[in-house]
Amino acid sequence: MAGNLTTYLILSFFLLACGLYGLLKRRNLIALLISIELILNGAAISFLAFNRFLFPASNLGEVFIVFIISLAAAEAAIALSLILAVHQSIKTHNIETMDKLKG
Amino acid sequence: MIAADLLLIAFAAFIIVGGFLAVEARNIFHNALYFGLALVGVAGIYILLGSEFLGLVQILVYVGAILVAIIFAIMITPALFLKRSPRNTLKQIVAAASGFGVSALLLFLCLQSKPVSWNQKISFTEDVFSIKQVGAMLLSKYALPFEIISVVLLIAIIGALLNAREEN
Repeated sequence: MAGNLTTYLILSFFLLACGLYGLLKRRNLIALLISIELILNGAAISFLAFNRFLFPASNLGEVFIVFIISLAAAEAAIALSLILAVHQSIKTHNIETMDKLKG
Repeated sequence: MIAADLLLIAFAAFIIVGGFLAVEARNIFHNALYFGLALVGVAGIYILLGSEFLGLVQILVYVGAILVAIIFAIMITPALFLKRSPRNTLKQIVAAASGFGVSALLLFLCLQSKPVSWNQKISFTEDVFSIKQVGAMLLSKYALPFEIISVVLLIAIIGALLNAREEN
């Protein structure tokens, strides 16, 4: 089971499913950010699994996962600063109340 | 079962429980903690797939920096104490159907080819510490994305600082 590519693909697609489900269901801004990070982690697992099983001599998947983690950190920083900025003007976290273009 | 199977079952349990409860729990702080559990499971999967550098980087950066920043944002903004809106059941069913449906469809398409197992013929003659190989690749062949990532991180820091400033 640990030597099969299918197992890691199932894990990667399970994280994608949870991230999509949370992204469509939750209304809290921070929960949306957590769902996006879950999707990114699922994609990263599938990168490394394909690298190890189909192209064992290369390590391009590892290099790409370093880029994915750095970009996820940058995106989380900006998203959290946006959440702080929104919260200073609108005192709520419910995304359904943010339907005006000007704060 | 061999040890790799047991470790895989343990880390897969972390990922499944953490990933599902990170979007299903009602309290936002519980979401963040279950997300941390899923990240530790993903780090274990990285180590199991043979790249210990990525497992440690995952714990350092994702659990140690991103999760901590999310918990800071939960603590600073009073997200824990706001009253909850009533649940929309139809929206929940549509979200579950589309999320799990799309992912099941993609998984079904991925499994159409013949199953691939571990290639035992690759022999590790040289040293295979992953940090050495990743470092060599990052500085020789992928130096341009490496430098651009630094610029992106710098812009992200400046943007985050400018955004969260209070209007005077």
